[in-house]
Amino acid sequence: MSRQGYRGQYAFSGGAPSLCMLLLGTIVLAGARPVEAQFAAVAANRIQVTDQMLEQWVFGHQVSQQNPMTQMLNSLELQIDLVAECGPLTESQRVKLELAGLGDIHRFVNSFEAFRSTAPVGQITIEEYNELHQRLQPLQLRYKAGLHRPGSLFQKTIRSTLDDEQFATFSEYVAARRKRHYEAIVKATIASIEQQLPLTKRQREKLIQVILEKTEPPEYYGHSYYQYHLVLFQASQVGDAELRPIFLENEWPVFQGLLRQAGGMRQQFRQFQEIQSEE
Amino acid sequence: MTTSSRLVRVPVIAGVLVSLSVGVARADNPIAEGMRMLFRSFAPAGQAGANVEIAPEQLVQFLGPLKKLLTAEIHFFRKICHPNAEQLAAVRQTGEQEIESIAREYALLQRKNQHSGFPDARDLLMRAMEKGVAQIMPAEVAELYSEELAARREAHAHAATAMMTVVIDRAYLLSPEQFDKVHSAIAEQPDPQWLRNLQIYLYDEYAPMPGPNLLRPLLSDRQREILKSRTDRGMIHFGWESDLGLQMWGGGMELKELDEYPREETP
Repeated sequence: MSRQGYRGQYAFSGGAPSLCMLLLGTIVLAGARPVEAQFAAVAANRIQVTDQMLEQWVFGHQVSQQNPMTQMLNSLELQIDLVAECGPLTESQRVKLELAGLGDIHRFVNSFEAFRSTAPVGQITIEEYNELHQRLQPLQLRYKAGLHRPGSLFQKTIRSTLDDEQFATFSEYVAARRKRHYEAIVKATIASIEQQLPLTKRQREKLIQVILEKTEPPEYYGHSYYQYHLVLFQASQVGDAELRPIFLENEWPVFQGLLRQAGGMRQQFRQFQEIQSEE
Repeated sequence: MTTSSRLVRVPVIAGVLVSLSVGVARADNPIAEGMRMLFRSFAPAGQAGANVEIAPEQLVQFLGPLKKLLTAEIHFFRKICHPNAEQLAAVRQTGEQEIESIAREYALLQRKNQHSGFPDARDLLMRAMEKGVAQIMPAEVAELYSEELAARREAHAHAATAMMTVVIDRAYLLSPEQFDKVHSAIAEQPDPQWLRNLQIYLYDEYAPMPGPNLLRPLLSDRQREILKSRTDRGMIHFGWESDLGLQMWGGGMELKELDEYPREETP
């Protein structure tokens, strides 16, 4: 099936934000954590769930006038452009990558449709809502992680489609991108910590250096909300011997408390990895 | 004018003088900062010539978090400058005066039901303390303190602009060359609102974005199409308390240890 065919096949509502969207926006803008509390505030016993809300929960708060299918196809095209940055693709290579990418989209859309066909809509109870939320979370995470992430048909096809030189270049490219992101997130994590525990220039540089040298950039951060926590979780695996000398005596317990807090999120991060590697 | 009095009176003219005397003007944009200072001073009064009364209990909700901010900044000052007890007390007093002034300003804004546009408390406090340190500490120590403050500001700004670039990269899959260009363009003229709260970059959909005029020339045709279809949903405002940066790490970082500093230090 062609990309145009896909664009027309699925009926996504897209378009204008709903009241729910505005509500979600308001709650997020207010700095609250996800959805349960929000709805509890709206109606004590029943929650209105619409088909459109299911889409918005899975495909994220819409930041585009394009519907989810168009967004997914655009994302695939950007991915192929990125591969082509590493060296010109032949027509045959491009077609193979497109088909593989469409396969990932098709598989995800099928999963979503399977979910949607059994999801309760209309006025539902808090219990039903909580159950619904549990069921949609893996879909949210998979979509957020990118349909063409490592382990996808698209990535496997890259390996089998590109020649060795192209693939080596692409691999370097991907690793460099991951590293760039990780560096930015590590620096933002430290800057965020510094709002409570300001560091000297030397402390800051050393701490960033140790974390970057002793930990690996993750392939996936789970919910973007946890990016900084994941950095600290990684730092918690480094060991006190490397980190403690960076801090003053009265600073170390504070930083150590943070590491302990992040270390306690092991199960959560493992769950993200499991969801990512599903399929 | 003290917080111990039942009501605190804030004459408008005194507000202007205080604002000018603490010297919070920013060297990089004195006109804008001057306007901001005027706004700070006049806006709360509502009507010209009116005195504004603020009950001390109205300040309490602001003073609590602001004191934590001061604790962190005093810690930083001590770490860099190694003051004696007298110097520490003087700088602490400068900081305490500044956070009281900020708390008063926040209370006035809240009274007007204003939920955004609160001035950047950390920036105001850092500037007030920097000025105080320059008056209280030996020149070479004050210079070192200023350098460290500048390095902190720079690291924070770099972190924010790099995170913004990461968010853009996730949306548009930038090439390495584009990534560098986008980051340079953002870092060249950052909006102070982008730098204030790093938590906003944890929500890709609501993170601040540069205007299309900055991005468009750096993107490919396909990326531009996506940019064109993007709906501007504005940016998140988590509120003044979150903007202080004290909430991000929750219970894991109470800074109790730092609070245990003695009020007066042995010389």
